[in-house]
Amino acid sequence: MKGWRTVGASIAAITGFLVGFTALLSLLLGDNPALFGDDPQAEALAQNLALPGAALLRLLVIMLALSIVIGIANLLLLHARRMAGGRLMSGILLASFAAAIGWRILLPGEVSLLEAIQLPIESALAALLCLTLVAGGARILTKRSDIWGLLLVLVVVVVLLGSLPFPELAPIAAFSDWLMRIPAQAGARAILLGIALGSVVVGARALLGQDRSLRG
Amino acid sequence: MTENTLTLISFALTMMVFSYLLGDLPLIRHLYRIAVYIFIGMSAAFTLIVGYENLLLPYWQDAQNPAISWTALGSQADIVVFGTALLFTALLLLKPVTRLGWLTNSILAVVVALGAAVGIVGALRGTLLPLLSATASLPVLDAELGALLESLLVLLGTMTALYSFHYQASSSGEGTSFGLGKAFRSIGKACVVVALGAIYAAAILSSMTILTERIAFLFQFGA
Amino acid sequence: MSDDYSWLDEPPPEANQPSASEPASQRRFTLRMPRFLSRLRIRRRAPKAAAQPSASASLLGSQRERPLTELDQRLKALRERSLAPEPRDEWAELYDVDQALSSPALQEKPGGVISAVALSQAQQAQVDLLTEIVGGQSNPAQAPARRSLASAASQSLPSMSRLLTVALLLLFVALPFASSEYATGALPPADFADDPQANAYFAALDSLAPGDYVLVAVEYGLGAAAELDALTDLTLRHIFARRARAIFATSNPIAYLHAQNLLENIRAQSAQAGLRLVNGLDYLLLDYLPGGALGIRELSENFADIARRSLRGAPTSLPIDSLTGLKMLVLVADGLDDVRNWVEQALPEAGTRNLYAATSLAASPLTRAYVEGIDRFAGLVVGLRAAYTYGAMLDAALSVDAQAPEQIIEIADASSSSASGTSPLTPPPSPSPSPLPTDTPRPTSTPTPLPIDSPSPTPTTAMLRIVEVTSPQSPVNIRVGPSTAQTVLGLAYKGDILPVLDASADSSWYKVLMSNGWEGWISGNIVTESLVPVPASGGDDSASLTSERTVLSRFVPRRYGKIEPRFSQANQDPSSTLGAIVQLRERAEAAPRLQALTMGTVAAVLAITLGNLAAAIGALFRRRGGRA
Repeated sequence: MKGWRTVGASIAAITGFLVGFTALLSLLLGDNPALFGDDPQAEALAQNLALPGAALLRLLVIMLALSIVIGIANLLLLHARRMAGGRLMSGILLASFAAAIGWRILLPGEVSLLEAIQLPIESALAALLCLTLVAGGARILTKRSDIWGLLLVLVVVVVLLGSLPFPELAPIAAFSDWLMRIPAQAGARAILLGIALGSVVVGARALLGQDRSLRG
Repeated sequence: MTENTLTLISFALTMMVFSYLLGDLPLIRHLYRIAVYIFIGMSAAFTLIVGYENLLLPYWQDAQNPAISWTALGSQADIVVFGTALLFTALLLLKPVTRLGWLTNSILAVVVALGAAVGIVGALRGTLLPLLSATASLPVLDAELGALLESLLVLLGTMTALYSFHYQASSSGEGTSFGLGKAFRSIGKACVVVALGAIYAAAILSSMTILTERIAFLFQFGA
Repeated sequence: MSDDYSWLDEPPPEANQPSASEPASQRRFTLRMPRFLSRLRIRRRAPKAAAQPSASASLLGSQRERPLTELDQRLKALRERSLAPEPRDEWAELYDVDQALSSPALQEKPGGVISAVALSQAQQAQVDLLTEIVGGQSNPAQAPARRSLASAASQSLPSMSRLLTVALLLLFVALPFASSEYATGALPPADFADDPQANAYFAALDSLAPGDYVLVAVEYGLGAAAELDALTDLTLRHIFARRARAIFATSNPIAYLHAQNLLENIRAQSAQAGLRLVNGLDYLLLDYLPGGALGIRELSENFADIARRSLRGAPTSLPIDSLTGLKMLVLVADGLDDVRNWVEQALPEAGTRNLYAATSLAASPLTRAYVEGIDRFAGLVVGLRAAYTYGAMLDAALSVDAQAPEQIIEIADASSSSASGTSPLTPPPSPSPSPLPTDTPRPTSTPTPLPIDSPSPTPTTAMLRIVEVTSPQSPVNIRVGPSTAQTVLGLAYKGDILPVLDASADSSWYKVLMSNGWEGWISGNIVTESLVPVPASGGDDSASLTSERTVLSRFVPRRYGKIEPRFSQANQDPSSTLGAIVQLRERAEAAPRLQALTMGTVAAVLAITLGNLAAAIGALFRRRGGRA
């Protein structure tokens, strides 16, 4: 049994590697005739190289679309079970789902449901976030009373003050602007680079089958 | 439905969400949850509508249409791809069947590998190469002293911040070394903390913009 | 949600650790990150919620782990917002293959409002990015017990202070609406004086030429609508006012519907002014791109096909087959993830084209680092205040005059406009190899085709020359010139009726007016010509000639009295005519909101300063007490 599992895992890893590597090459080299010289043949080669990548992406996108349907079916089934168990809230969820679908079928092109129901709820929830963030910001030093916590508080306050449209605060605005332009930009750039580096590393690991999820 | 009814509904829903601020009062505590459940149900519905109307249906129609092909391979290839996607998705649902584990894992491996390939290509060509070259290229020539200095500062900050990431990754716990390395790390960390502070403040301002809109709506309704 | 003010709390620390009872199938999905990266990564929240990439840093992991979830951000948000605990069941087991398919109710503890509230994943990411990265950096040794700033705070301060904070904020934000006495703070300036990136954004859109294609990526959820709708709206109007064409793209299904609504609003207002925006010609909504980065990459690779499919057979002149055929890309986004996806997956494939972004304030610090660092990421406008300034600049640029819309629209005689061949908004495609043969002699027998020059229409008995598509093969092509070698402009279907403007000498080709105001040529072999009496102006006889099947049929004679308005030759200057699109926008009173934002910011500064001051003093006392 264990032997089978190993074989299965190997099949998975090899398949993944082959497909992923094909896609990688295709995406990197395809449609880039400059890499192969300057003649029509090179152009054709580049176009052909782009094909597998495009086809694989299309495959994946259709799978994603199908997964949406399945995911939502799962959500509905789950709440249907819960509703059967006497939970009113799940019933509300199902009813609002049915209402939105029915609305779309009966009144195609009618948009008010989105704008009159979804938008207020989502906006109001996002507005609550403001209160949460400010309340959290007021407690930064409670959590971390060290130099970094202090720096964080100072930056938050300076940037907030710098955003105020009062001429009297112009010096603070200038300082806030400098903060954004130099240290914050350096930090942000490092974060972006870190994310990208991590992307490449994790992606390479996944391609090479180092990802545990593929080992069954 | 009339405009007024819709406005009334919007108002009610806004208040239901804001009722959260009142905390755990009898009856009132349900209002927030009702709003959130309505929201989830509708989100699911809208996602399904868009996914069906704008992905599945057109793809399916395309695959069936012999006059149209999205690759140079002809319309037969479309049907093959669509069918494969259907099959793969169906197989993924069979994951609990242990005997087919190798199959579902292989499909999963394809999915993961494709995602990895897209991520690698994007990160390399979209972020790493341009940002690194921008960081490394200084306006040495015909630059004002101020601009040059600023570029140097950004370079220093970026490098030290990356160094501090690297240091944290390669050593466990707090560092024990002192001197130049520690100074660099501190500079880098300061830059990151400043960036995060800026993000925090910006997030507050962003959500406050939304709060003002909601409050404006409530006042408008009251008026 | 049962405990009051739990909305300030993150889940307790133990929820952050993978629980021992976590099913094996789920653990399999735990990605082993490189160590340096795992430091960047966001802590996992509850066992199930760990599946969600809760910050940009973890996205890179999640992208590889669960690519399927990338597409449907909404689903993730749904899961995230699941509220009540629910025992694991077989269904969930079945679907844990893919977190997108997993049940939303498996989260073992309510995540508090930070997770419940964050409607858009992007906003959630912002919060987590802060709390997590900062938390991780300052306290790596305590990683398992990392908690958010908010959670720590909520435990060490009495809830009275939270109440005060909330009350203070709400009060300050509400004051400017309640009384103008509290309206304070200067309104935004009339131009982006010292913001080169915002100026670049405006200048780029302002330099659009008629017929240019602009890809507009609308990537914000409804939660950010209050901040970004104004910028999106202005950007679109700016594009249309320059007679450029907008191609919409989004990887967010709700944003797709919302963008449709925004566009519909502009269309409706333009129609009042007599300007028609036509699908496929003036704009095009690309199908929703599933999977975030994956969907956008697919757009880069398969642009022509996605565009063709999104047209659903509508007539078009879309001559571009890849992103490089665009004039520029414009992105409206409320989170770093969306910005990153477009920068990484689309921009490198767009040749030399530039990307311009309008973002929320929350997304701006990291986006700005991109703009500063990447040459072709060339401009950025941020937030509501920028929208205010942008509107002022747009008004100035188009020198909108006080003309009423009715006066702006003049209905031109079709015969005189045939020389220009322009539609209200869409000039004929430039790639047409040969100019329209405008000098074809008009058949003299034609009873004045479109005598529309009377502003106060008087009843007329004129006859209108029309052709009806009779070809059994439908649809048929309408071409730029009278030859099958000419570019196809659009399609007509059997039964469609088109007014004739002109005909070739042997009547083998007819020059017809299309529903969008374009003029094209249709072969005489596939149509039947006839003359129909033109009803008295304003008459709305439900003419039997009508075929409502296609947009083209909107041009049937029964609508003759209010036939498509055209711009007169004398009035072709876009600054005076198309400016109506800008002019007609809803000018919501922005001042109170901006003043409320000012007041709210003051309150936030007060709360943050006082709260932290209290904490610092408290810490000092504790330290002193400890020493004693």
